[in-house]
Amino acid sequence: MNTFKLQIAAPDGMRYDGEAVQISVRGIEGELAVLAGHIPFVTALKSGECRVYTEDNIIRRASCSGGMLMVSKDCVRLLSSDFTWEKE
Amino acid sequence: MGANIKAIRARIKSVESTRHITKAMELVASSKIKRATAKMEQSRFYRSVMLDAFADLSSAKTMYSKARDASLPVLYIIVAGDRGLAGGYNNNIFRSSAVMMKENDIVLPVGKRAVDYYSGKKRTVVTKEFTSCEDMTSDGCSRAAYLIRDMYDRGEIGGVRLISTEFVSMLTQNPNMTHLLPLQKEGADETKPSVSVEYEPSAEAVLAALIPEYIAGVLYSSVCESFASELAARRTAMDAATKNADEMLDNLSLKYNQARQSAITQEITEIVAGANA
Repeated sequence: MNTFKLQIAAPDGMRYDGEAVQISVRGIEGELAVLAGHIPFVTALKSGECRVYTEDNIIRRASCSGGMLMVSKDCVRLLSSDFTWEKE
Repeated sequence: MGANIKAIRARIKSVESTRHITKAMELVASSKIKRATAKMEQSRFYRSVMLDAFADLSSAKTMYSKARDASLPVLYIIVAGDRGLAGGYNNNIFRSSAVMMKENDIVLPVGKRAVDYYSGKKRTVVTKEFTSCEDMTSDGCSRAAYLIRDMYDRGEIGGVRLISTEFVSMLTQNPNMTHLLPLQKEGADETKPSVSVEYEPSAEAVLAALIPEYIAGVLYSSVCESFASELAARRTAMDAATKNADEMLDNLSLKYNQARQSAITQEITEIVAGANA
């Protein structure tokens, strides 16, 4: 599986910093997923579930209240004012 | 001589109690500073990514990147401390904001000292709601951000700037200004080719949704940084004050002993003189 570098940050700290296979979020226009090699783009997010598919086939779920998703050539970054992993 | 001894004793007592206060404040600041700097470190990444992203977004032609009429008032968010006795911390902020602000500019103070300071001035104050830097949450920052966004959308203000304190080190903190709106490219970095980035659904829609997050994020990290700076400034100031008090106590107790000794000597002289007579 191709992976990409993913960084998730909230104002009070980093939530994720590492490789991922896929990230699914709720954008302002609807659910979307990003895989490795996506073209650079920026979108705003709605409150909702965020799923991160890691290299070892684990799906991590989190609640994400708004924010932004930035896909650049070498890195995907998600900023959210409140981002909490499930079971935390 | 007796009166002199009494006066010195009173002086020693008062310096001692002042020293207790300064020492206690120093200790409180030291114990809080670790958490405050950790919080500041954590918010830094968010801030830097946010500022980078919006510097890129500024190239998109939207209402948020267009410069506005210079006669419109500019909104200054001013982050100062909650308490005094922090050396020049609060005054440095007020002094540098006074230099930057025009006559008709308006302020949104954050922190008790800032709110008090601007309440006594002839400036329009947007809200006096944010009276605590220490307890400022990201919710509070969001509320402030929506307030500011709405004012900007209504065309009441021509720009938004943030004045806060930059934490350079435990010993150095500098007042610092951040341009928030209208969006502009950091410096004149025209050589860097702008990467073509797509916006989903459009640059306007993305920006409209993200402006409050952007203001709130930058504000929150600035509040964290300012609070850490306040504590560091207070610790330094109170450390110096405690040292000064110690020095004063040394001098005073020397004087006190001298006065006491000379009183005793005089008394003995008087007794001896009396016995000889």
